[in-house]
Amino acid sequence: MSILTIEHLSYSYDNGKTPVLRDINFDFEKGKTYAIVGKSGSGKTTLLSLISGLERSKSGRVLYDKKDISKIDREKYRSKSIGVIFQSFNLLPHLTAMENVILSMDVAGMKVKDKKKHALSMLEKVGLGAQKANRRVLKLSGGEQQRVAIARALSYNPDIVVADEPTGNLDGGNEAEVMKILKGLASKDNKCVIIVTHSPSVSQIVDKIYNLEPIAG
Amino acid sequence: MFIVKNALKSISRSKTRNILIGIIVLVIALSSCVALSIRNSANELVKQQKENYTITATLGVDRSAIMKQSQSGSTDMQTIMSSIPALTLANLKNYANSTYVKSLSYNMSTSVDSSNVTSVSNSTQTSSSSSTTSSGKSNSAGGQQNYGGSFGGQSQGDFKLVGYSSTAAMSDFVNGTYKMTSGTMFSDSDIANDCVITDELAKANSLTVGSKITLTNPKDTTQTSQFTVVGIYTDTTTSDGSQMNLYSNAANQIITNYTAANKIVTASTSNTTTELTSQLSSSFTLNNADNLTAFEAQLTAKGLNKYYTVTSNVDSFTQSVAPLNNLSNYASIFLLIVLIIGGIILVVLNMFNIRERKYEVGVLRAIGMKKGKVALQFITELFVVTFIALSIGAAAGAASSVPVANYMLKSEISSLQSQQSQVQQNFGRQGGQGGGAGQSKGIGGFFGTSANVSYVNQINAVINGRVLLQIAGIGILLTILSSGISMIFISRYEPLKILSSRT
Repeated sequence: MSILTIEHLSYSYDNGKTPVLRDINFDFEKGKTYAIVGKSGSGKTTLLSLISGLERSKSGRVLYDKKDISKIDREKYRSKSIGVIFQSFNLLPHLTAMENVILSMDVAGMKVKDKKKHALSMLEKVGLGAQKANRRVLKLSGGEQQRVAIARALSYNPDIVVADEPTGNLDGGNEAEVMKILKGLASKDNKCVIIVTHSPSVSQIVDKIYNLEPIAG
Repeated sequence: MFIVKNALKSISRSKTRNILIGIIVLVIALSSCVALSIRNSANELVKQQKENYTITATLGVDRSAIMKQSQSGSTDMQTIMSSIPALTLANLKNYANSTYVKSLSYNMSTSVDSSNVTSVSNSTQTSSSSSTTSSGKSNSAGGQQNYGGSFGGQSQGDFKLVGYSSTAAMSDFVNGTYKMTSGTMFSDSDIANDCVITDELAKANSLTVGSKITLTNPKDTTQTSQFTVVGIYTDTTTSDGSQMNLYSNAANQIITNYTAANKIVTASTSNTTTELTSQLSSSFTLNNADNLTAFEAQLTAKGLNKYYTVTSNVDSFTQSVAPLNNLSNYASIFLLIVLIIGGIILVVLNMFNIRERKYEVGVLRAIGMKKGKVALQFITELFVVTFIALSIGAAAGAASSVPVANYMLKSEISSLQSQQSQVQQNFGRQGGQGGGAGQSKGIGGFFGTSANVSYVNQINAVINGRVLLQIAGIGILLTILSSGISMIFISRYEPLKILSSRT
């Protein structure tokens, strides 16, 4: 059953002068891993922004659980239903790894008895122990920061996890490890995992690939 | 709740930024605190002055109004003057029976002769009637019983006997024109035939304290009264020797209490041909400088003739508190400048601050935090920093402003006490606290101070609840002002744009 549906989605910049997406129709289910691939300028990141509710669609619809996300509370959608793992992690540097995770839980309004314990379990799930959890994120490596970003996206148990070039800043070892985690989120935790990437190796391990072509002209 | 926690974390982990904001707020708070406390101290002193300063009002004939009326109509001034009813003591007491009046003092003057004292002739005098003129002006003619020339012009005695209801009414002693050189002034409670005389009169007749003088009715020398000299005073003004008669010569003035003077005048009324002409002057002590207009209205309502006018020392009071009012105004202007400049600096600093934290705003918005909550976190941070700095600033301000305020207060009290002491010396009293009950108060009243007034010589609570509330208000104002800018910026930031620009 579809958790996220994209219907006839088009998007352009500069008041329609620069079209990037045209009549996109994608369908995403829980428990599966998807890759959105395409060359630079094909609109991958724009599509991610539209899916995650950071941008409003101008034509077409993005349906979450059959509801048009442009008509629901987008902040609530972002804080509870979808977890976004940004390419540049977008963690708050003055907070520790654990505090970054707890902050997302707070924003989502999660009612958990022991938030620290829950946050730590999320960090442990992505391979970060208590010692790293209490470090400020600036003192963590790129791979570790990516894991914190994943833990943050998972902390409030969203239905959809969207990752923008999750391995773009990582070395080979870390790339494999992160992909393993993301794959596990779909298979073990029944999440709908959408990976926006141009990496062929990443696209090989997903359940379905959606290809975006740059609009000519 | 997590917003507050986040705000506190942000403050503790971004020390440099917050210390900078804190320093600016601290400077604003310190300056505001000093300005507010100086303003409060000045206002406090004005209030104290208002309470202690005795506002006196006197009734007098409005000669300019009479002249105007005379010029515009056919009636001459003399006719108008004679039509004005004289004010009696009963009238004055009726006017004094007012919530605006604290006390009434009055004096009666009449002319007398003496069987055992020779008057000082005008050619040998050293004092002048200018003091009498001055005295007459300040006291005004409250109720002349005869306006047809000075005391009828016939059978006028050589001496001017003035009986005061209280020593407070003796303005020449209060302002230092007269000073006791021997003996002391009789007290307010004294109703015996005691008097004080000028040193010239004493010298001319070899009179000393304790000497007896016999005063007679110029129209009937059989009517006599014996007085005891209890004091001798000197007139500090110089003379031009231009008095028309001996009566007008200040050296021939004999000062006594009202009862004694009134006894002589009343005794003379047994026979209309020997009746002494007297002049009644009054002075009303008002409760408050602000009550003068209301008192004037009340006098009109009580039927005071339109040709009488009220003269007061309100202008003198206003002048005396003008430096304090100016200080208060300067403090207010200083406060305003500090707030404007401080506010602008704080707003600009916060604009830079928010721009610097644009990324943080983007992240918070991207993870689903609403604009309002992001703004609330930033405002909370600003509030906490502002109030910590304000508290330190207020404490520093309190520490520095209390000595300043107390120094101001002490110098003011010292000045008042010096004046008070001078007044007491003018009456020939040592230690400045002599005289009967109420006497010192009355005397002091003319200088806006009183011997039995207990001055506040220490202001411990310059930074009182009111100042703290004002400082808190300033803090809230500054926070709202600077956070308002934050809110505008935050509402304009789109998370995607912020994050993509960083990427």
